[in-house]
Amino acid sequence: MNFPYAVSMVIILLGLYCILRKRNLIKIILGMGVLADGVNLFFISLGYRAGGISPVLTEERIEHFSAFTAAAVDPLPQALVLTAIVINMSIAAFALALAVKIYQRFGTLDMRKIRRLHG
Amino acid sequence: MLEYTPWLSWVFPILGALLTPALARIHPRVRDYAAVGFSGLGAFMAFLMFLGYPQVLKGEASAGFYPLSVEWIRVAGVQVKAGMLVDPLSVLMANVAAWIGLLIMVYSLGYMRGDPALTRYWFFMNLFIGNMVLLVLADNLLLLFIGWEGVGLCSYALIGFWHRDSPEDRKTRWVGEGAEEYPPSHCGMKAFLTTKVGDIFLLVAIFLIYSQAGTFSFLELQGNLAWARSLAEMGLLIPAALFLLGGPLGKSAQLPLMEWLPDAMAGPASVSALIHAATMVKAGVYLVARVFPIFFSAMHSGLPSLIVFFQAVAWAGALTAFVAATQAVVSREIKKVWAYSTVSQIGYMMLALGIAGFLTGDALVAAFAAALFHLVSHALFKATLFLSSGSVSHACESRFMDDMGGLRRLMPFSFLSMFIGALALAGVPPLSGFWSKEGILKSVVEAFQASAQAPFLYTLAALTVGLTFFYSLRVVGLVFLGGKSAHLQKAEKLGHHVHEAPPLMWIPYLALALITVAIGALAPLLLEGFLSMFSPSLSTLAHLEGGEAMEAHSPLGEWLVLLTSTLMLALGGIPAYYAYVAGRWNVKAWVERRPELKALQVFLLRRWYINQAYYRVFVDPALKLSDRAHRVLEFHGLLRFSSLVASGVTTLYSRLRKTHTGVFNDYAVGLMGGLTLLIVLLVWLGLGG
Amino acid sequence: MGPEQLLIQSVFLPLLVSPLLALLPKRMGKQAGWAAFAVTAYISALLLTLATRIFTGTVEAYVFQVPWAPSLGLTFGFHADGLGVTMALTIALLASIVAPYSIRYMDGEQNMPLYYGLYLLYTAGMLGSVLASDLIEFYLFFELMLLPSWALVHGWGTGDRERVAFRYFIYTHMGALLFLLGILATGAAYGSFSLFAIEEASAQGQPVGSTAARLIVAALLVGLMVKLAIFPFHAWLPDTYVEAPTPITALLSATTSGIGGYAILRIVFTAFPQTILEFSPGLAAMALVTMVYGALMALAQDDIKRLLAYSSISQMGYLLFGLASSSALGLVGAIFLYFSHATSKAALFMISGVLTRQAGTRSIRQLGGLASKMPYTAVAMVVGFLSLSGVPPLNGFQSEWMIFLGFFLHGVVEGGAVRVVLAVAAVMATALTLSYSLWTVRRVLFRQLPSRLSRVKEASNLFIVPLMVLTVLTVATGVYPQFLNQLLSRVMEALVP
Repeated sequence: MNFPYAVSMVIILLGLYCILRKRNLIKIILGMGVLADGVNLFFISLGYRAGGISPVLTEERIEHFSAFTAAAVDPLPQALVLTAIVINMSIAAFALALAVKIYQRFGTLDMRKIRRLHG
Repeated sequence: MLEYTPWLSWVFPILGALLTPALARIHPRVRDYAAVGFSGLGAFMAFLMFLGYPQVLKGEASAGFYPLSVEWIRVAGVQVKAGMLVDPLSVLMANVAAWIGLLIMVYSLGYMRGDPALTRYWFFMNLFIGNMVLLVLADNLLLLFIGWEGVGLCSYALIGFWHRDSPEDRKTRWVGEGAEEYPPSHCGMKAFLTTKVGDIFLLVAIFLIYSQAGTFSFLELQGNLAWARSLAEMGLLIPAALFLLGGPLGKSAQLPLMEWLPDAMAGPASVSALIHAATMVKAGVYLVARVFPIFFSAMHSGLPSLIVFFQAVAWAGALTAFVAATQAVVSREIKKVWAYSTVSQIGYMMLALGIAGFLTGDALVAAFAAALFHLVSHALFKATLFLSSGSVSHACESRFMDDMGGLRRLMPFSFLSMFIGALALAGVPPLSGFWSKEGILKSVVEAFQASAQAPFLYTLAALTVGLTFFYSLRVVGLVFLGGKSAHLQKAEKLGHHVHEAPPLMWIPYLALALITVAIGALAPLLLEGFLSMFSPSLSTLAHLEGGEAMEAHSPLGEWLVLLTSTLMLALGGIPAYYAYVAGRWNVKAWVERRPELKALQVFLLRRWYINQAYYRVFVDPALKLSDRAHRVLEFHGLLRFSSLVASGVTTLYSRLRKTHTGVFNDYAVGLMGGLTLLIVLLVWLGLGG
Repeated sequence: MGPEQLLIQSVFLPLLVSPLLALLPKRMGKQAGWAAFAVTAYISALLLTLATRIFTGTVEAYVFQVPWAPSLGLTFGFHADGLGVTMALTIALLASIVAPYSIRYMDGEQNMPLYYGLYLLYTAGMLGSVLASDLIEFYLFFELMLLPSWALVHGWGTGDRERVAFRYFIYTHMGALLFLLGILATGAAYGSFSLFAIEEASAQGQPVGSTAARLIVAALLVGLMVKLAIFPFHAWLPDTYVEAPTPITALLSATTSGIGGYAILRIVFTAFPQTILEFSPGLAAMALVTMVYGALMALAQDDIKRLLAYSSISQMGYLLFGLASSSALGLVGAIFLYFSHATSKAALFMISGVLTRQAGTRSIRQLGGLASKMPYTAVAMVVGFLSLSGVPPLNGFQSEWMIFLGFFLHGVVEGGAVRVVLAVAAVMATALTLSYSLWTVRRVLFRQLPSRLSRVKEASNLFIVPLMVLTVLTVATGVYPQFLNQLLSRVMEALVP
């Protein structure tokens, strides 16, 4: 069993659990953050190479380029994850802003109590 | 030009009808005279047919001519041409209808004067005359049916002419007494519905015949009888023939569809004269005469079972003649007596036509001619009777004969006309009715050797002679003789004096009465003329059987008829004389004293309870059934079912609606669940595919 | 302007004008009405020109077709042959005749521009259905005529209109869904939804086995019989017709119901000619029951609108009877009846509206003697009822003799006592129609005028002129039926093998 994958799965599930089962909106948002972290971790783990080196290109590594590419960890997921972290941050910011508004409007953050959208 | 006369004779009256509303706007008089004028033009055209087609008078070989047959409908393989058939029968009928129609239109100028709805009256009278002439001149069944329905429609409109049903007019414009008193609008509806029942049967017959023959045309149906054989193979020939008879039974008010005619008396007297005495009710007789050659030749070319058709015609005629005459004997309203009488006399015509089916040779021609001669003579004297009754009724402001009496001196022309008409109706020699009735009775006697049923038919016919004389004299006696009724005396005290009708009214019906006398005087000549007119067209039929042709009238027959009719006239006339003319017997008191007679009177007054039976069996149950079915099926059954559909949907959605809890977490769970499902599906399909 | 253009205009013009009308300011109700009249009158003229060309034989049919979604086998187009153009002309004519009546009748109601927008949309839906050349397109327009009519009943109806409208919608929609199932199966069986393709293919025989064909045809028929309101699927009709605003009832009765019959002809007869023949005795029996049932129910009614609603059910029974005749003549009669019923029933419903406005009631028991007060209305009423009863020389007679003779032609020739009995019984049923007709005429127009009605006046011109136009049409096509006969004859002869 691949240890990083397992850990990221656990973190994802933990985040999911928060979203699905927590009453407090802040906890739900925290859960969203945890879920996002787990996903990011999963992505980075995908790019891992056993015994790999960091994907930083230095002068001496340029000379042995093919050896470098063969040994480097995949940098693409790392780049994407950077983007994802930023996006997740803005989502969290927006979600928290909405939470503030919800609290102002409804006076509570208990999701079980806010049922205006029921059919 | 003369070839167009058959068309013009019905086009002119219809044109007149259509123009009436427009002409009414110019001036009421213009409308009135124009209406009479158009029907006069039509009558003139009808007369011109004799000149345009002189072969008709000579009854020459070809049975008909096709002046201008126009294609009217062509659809899906069916072609209907509109054409006129000019032969002795149709030209005769057309002239009877057109000329009597004209005379009655003239009468109407006086009789209907002052009526606020005259435009409608002229419209429908002219429309009627046009349709009637169309009916008799049509060369095919479908076109005939159009005229047939057309006259039915006009009859409906004219019977119910005074459709306000005002209670003040009950004595003059309603009909019947007690439980069977009906207002005009009801009578119109009744007439239309009853004749519609007959018409439906006629329509089915037309369709059945067409389905095998591929044509509606009379000449083609007679020319090639293959259709009759194919119908017979399917067992549908007799039903088709009997269904076809349904139409005439309805239109001519024979049993079992006679009940509408007595109640049709709610219409104006001119209408009763024109439609219900002289023309429309004769349409049934005309149709039977028109299809007579067709069924006769079919019968004699290997389909002897068709004799049932002729038996049905004869029996319907004889029974109706008798039953209707019994009802006329007790009737208390003047027009109703003549109505029953008309039904009865048409029975004679049907009888003659039916009997003709049993005969061959000269006897066949004689029977056929007798029926038609009676048709013409009856049209004339019955019109007289109705028109003069109209004057009398109008003068006395009542339809009941008990409200009349002693009018002989006050209304001499009406008296003379009605007296002549009554005697002619009764068959008193030498008036026209005598000759025509004799002819019919003689023909029935001729059939004694051909059918065992003929003697019974003869008995019924003979008895009717007696009854006819009785009720005819009764009317004359009650109305014109004896003393003035209480009603009249009261009216006189109030200043309403009875006087003769204006000349515009009595001239037409006196003229008709005089024509009746003239026909009576010239009868032997006229009968010869009739025979020679119809002989040629019927000769092919007359000699079909092969073997001996029957001669017209055997000496035995002549004596038998002479004897029985004299006997019947005496049996009918003598009591009538004592009771109503001389006034020596008090019939009313006599009936009151004897319960059996009283019961008989009620039975006859209630029309053998046939009318009531129809209401009880057809009208009331239909209304009740519809009401109950409506309540049960619609409200309890189907409406609930359809609500079920709606409420089922509502229940379903209100259940599904519970998934929308409004709680975020539940939605999130749903989202995750759905996503998972989708992924699993994709993987599974991906793996499989 | 090519004839294909005319066809496209007929459907798309009302479709496009409709939202324009709906957006007009609320006070421009009358103008919106006249605009609707103008559009429908224009389309009637267009269709009349097309019809005349087909009548004189210069053209057999007008066709316009474009591919719509070829991967799914969908096309979009219009097909105007004698049958289609007759139906479309009836619809357009009736819509234009009812429009002026509607203007006067709905005077003072709320939100009239929206009403007329919906009116045009409704007309467009009907026109599209009868001119459609593709099955799915037909279904599209079929539903397109359902929605505006629902809205019209819901918004401007009387009584418990929301519930009645809802029930109308659900009921008819379920029928339409069943019909959709049938269409999908048909399209799958033939590999295409285009009616032209199906017509060509079916000439070589039905592509599915007889059991499958029977199931498909049953689904199609049941769905369409709901629209036609055949017993026992008719329960939606009485309430809907009664509570709908009277001009809409006139259109519903005169034009919409019969489209079910048209669809049977156009779709079922083309796609499954053998199966529909198998079904015809059963259909004839159902038609007969409907005829009698509708007429019987009509006899029991006091509300004149409800009586006319049941009468419509009965008349649609006649239409189905014609379709079940298995003969070209009967089919011609059936569509002729669509036209003749349209002219008479629309007039009669409009008269019921006139009575509501002038005499203040729909209850027959409270009416009477109105012939003297309202002569023109009376004439129109008598002519309308007589046409329903098949009295010559009105157009109702033409349709009836063709339907019944058509039935006899096939029934007697092919033998089968059942068919002959059915035919005889059907002709007898016409007596019931005459009964309720004459009885209603008598109770409304004749007898004494009740004192409370003594100040009733004749209706205004906007009511009378449409009535008179319909009356003239009723008589004219009764005396000269050949125009319609010719249009319909060839098409029907091709539909019956």
